[in-house]
Amino acid sequence: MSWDAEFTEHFDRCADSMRFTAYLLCGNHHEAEDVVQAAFLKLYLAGPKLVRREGLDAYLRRIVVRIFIAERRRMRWRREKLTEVLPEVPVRAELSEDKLVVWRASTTIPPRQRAVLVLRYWQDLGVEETAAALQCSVGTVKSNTSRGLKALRQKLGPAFGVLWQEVTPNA
Amino acid sequence: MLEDELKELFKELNIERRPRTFGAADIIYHGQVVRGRRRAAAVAGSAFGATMLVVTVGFVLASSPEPANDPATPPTQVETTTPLPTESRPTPVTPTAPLDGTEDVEPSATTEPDSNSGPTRSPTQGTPMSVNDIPVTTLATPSPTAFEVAAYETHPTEALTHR
Repeated sequence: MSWDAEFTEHFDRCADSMRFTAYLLCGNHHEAEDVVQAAFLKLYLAGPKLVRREGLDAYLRRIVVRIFIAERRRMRWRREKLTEVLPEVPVRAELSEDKLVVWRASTTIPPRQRAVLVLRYWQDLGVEETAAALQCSVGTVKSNTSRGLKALRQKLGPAFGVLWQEVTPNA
Repeated sequence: MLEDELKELFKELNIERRPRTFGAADIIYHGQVVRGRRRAAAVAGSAFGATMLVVTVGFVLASSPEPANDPATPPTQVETTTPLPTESRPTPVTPTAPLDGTEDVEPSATTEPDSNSGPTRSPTQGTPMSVNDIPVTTLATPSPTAFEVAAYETHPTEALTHR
């Protein structure tokens, strides 16, 4: 099987999962599309040089997370200023108010903590696998998880509805 | 628990599927374009490097001075002429070389020649010379050893012929 055919098969199998993971990381679909496309392009270019192709999913997940963190790091030096408030806020009708508050609050925590939370609670990865995906130590994953949850709790507070105005100022 | 809330939130968010904006064919096409661009850049870079190397080598070779085309001359030899020491003043002996114990010799490594007898050229043939007048021409030879000094004192002429 040629690499192109193998890549096509792999793309059809895990493209949707990676797109949603990137959406959880980035917080919007447009940036998630860019991140996933760049990740698949890197995978396609690196594929012929890979010796072992058993762990392509984990490798692709690592690429997605690394691209997301690198993009967030690069945003500081861009001329465009990103704001929390979008001109057209895509309100998802099917989400309850509490879920919406949690979602808004999760987009405000730092990228690494957000990546740890997504990998651990969406991808159901263990601490070691998360550390391998983020290329950091196990202790760093644990501390980022704790800090991320703590930041979320601080944002949400004891009652979600009371802090709705604080999380979303335009609401 | 906040963790459970997060998991439920992620599951709810995953319900809605959005259409794909790109497919595997797009990635493959873009990857081939990128690969071709990298290959072209590598070829251009190596060609540029080779050209620069050739130009640099040619410039260095062109700017180096040409060798002199003077007619061949015999190589000059630096001759050092020292007067033959007299019997009363033996030749210098290295301090480390032990003597046979017959007489004490100054262990100085260098001796000054006589102020009266300056360096002279080799004598012309046919002129009778005494042993004391024979100059010795040496080409930066090391100082004679104790054995040579003793041989010279016993048979001066043979020592000269052997040298």
